[in-house]
Amino acid sequence: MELSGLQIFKYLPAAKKAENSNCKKCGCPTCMAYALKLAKHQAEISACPHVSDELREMYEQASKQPQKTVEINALKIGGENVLYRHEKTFVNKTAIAVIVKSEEEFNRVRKFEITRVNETMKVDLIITKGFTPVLDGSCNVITYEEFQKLPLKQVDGSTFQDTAKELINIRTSAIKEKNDIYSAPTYVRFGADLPEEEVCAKASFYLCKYANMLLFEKFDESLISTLMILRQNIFTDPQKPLQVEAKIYEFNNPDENSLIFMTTNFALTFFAVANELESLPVPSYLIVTPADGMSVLTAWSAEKFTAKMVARTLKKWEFAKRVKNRKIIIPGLLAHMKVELEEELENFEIVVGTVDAYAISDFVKNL
Amino acid sequence: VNDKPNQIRKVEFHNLKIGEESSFPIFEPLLILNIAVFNPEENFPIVKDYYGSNDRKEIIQKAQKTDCDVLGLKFNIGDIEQIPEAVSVLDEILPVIEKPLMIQGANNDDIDRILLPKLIEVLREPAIIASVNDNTYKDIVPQVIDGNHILVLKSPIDINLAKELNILSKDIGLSLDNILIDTDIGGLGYGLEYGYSIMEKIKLEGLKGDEYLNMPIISFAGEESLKTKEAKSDAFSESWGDIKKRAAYFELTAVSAAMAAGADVLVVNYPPNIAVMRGLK
Repeated sequence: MELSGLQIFKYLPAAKKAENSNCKKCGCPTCMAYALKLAKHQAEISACPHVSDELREMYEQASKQPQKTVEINALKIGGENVLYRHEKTFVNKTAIAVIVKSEEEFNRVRKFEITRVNETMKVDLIITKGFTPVLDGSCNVITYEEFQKLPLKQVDGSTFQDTAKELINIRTSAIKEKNDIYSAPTYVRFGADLPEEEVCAKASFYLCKYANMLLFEKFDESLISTLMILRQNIFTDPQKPLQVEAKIYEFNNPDENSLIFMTTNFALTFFAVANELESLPVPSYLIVTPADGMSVLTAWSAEKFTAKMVARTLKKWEFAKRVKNRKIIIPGLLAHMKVELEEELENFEIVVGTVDAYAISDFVKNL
Repeated sequence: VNDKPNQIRKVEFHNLKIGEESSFPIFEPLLILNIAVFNPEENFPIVKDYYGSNDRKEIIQKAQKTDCDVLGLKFNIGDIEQIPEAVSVLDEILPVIEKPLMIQGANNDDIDRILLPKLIEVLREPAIIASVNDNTYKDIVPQVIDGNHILVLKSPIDINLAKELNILSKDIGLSLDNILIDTDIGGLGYGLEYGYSIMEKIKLEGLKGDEYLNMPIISFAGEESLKTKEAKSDAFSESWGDIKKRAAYFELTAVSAAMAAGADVLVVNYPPNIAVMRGLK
């Protein structure tokens, strides 16, 4: 646990009204100011000549990184500070590593690349065993011998539960006790003989709780791409609303007469709507307004979704010139904005759509 | 008065164990195999391939051969007028049911507030009823109480709204021991992490002794993930691998993540995934 400024202050001369109170030798005007800076790690504990051994020890313990970070070229593994993603964003994504034993396997893994939500993902680490590949710099490659020398802790319980419990125990002890014996980043290795579905279920669990790296002896594209999507979810910053770019999206090659939908740039809303529009039997446009990643109602109440803003978005993309269709379908939650929107968007008629994205296909059938 | 302050509530349902854990994740979640039974055409493609039939009884018999704890029947009707037909379908298939049931509505407030009470009337044993929200609970809770059923309370990815719905349902007579919490969740790659974190938060509060948040959690993360385009479309590059495998893995990964986040009850759609989850010992 981190120490607060007040907790630190209690141990400084000014709190005890002792000699050297507010002596300024640390460069701060008061002991309190120094304590606050220490709490934020903006000052050094050594700057104060009057710090007691007790405080120094406490502070050093509290400031200690619970988990070490292991760097393999540009890849960082470990360095986590929390147990739950809602406390603070996880630092380094669970690395996905594959052991390859032939040039052919190597090329298959090297070629693997998926792009999703503006992120291009490849296998993080390829470990070569028993052959020397021709390297082209496109992947992070090390030999099995080099891998064995890395300061990582393999967790290898005899059952799924044993492994899961040990992973949880190691991470919990590292964070709560900051005990050095638990500070090495962890990994789980999946043998080539395990059924792939079993690997999928286990690896997904360990990715959430709490393997820093997953090491596969057998490679499969559908397995790895699925795990990478879970990883994208778990390792997003929970403090930042997920946003997509505000622009006009096209589904199934729309033309000038296609349906036109509208929503905000909150990623969850966008994905829900986009998923429905993509599976419609007819093509469509989706106008996404800039709303700081807020959902439809939140954006409206924060005045991040106004008729003027919609008008600006349409103008920016010269939308009225691109289409002949003059009907825009707005989210059902914004039914009360119909008149206001119609006044602002002279060229368009507003149709009130569904409250939930899943109802869009039925809605379209009855248009 | 909460006499077991650091434990999740125990939900009594047939002879199955739901809840009662004092830490999480729990490693032996209850497994429900869910079928779109009213219109089997609407089952997910890999699910349809597996059953290889649109005959309800045939599907149910195959589903009951898996190692699921509970069989879920989804009444995916699209119109209020289909309610009488849904009721007679349930009546017709009840004789072949050998496992405890979950009855799921159409996920449409206007339909579910009429459909679910009608379906409950046909039931002869306690079932899990999925689901009600703050719009529909008043219409459904009374029948749930009469039949001593277990009710899934669904709130939109928000710990406070989950708690509020539990309190509201209790106020109209539902026992807090008959509730499963559904936090709602986005599919894999579609905001799954929001529901994931709400499950973790609810579980942490429940284990701290909050008597309005210490109910077991049910997760439909698998269903949401099978709805995604990555699990339905093969219009992806070679690196995404085989679509059939990917669809099965999408459900497995989501369900496994929900288990890690503290779900007590996992709803699965693709029958072979039941054995995989059961094998996580």
